Amino acid sequence: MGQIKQDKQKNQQERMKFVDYWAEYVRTHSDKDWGDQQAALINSQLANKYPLTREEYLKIIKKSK
Amino acid sequence: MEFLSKNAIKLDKSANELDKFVIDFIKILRKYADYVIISGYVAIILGRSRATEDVDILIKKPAKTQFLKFCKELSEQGYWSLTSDLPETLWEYLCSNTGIRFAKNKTVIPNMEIKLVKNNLDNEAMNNKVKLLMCGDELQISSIELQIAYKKIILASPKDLEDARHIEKALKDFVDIEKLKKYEKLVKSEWGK
Repeated sequence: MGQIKQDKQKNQQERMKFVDYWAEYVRTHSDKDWGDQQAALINSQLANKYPLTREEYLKIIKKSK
Repeated sequence: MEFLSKNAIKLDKSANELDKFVIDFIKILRKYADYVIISGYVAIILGRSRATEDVDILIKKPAKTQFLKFCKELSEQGYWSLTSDLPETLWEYLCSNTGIRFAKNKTVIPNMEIKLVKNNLDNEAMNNKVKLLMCGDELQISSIELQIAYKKIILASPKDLEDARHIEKALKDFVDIEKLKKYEKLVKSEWGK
């Protein structure tokens, strides 16, 4: 369990490093530049969403709370 | 990102599909209720590298007649509610502090979750909005400092800590440190209640 906890912490640190990197990129580049890159991510995620019914979705939301 | 004033930010980027969904929905909502966008979408519109399946909105309680007109227009414009097909039922849910969700017809993602303002923090968000100008339109988002404090202290999941960090760093030229400290205090005191 010790190893898993260490791996989790390391993962979170690496994720935060990327958050810092990307935040600085947004701060120092044009909105068009970062916006286009962000759009590629968001548009592809929305286009490939799993087809859920209304009921299935609400069930998932309820379980997650 | 251009900081026009303490309460206004201008973005010069194209709208992605999530932005278009939000902008189109808000164009209808704002005719019927005062609103503020909070939570995950605030970080995303400010450049955070993730998507979201839902956008959280707080509204001041409208008159029931206005709310029913809102539901009617949504239906006419191709939206449905994930929560209930009956506007009267949606009104009851809303008034009992249950979020109600809307999406484009026959879809579930993305969706807007609407809740009424109900506590001091919600009132702070509603009374201290930031105007976000984008694609010739205007969105009202929560105070940046309040979002940072709320995500860091109350939500505090790994995702929320990342959102808070992104907003703090990407907008470090805009974030009011004194206001942030004030909100951190307020959030902690409200959290203790």
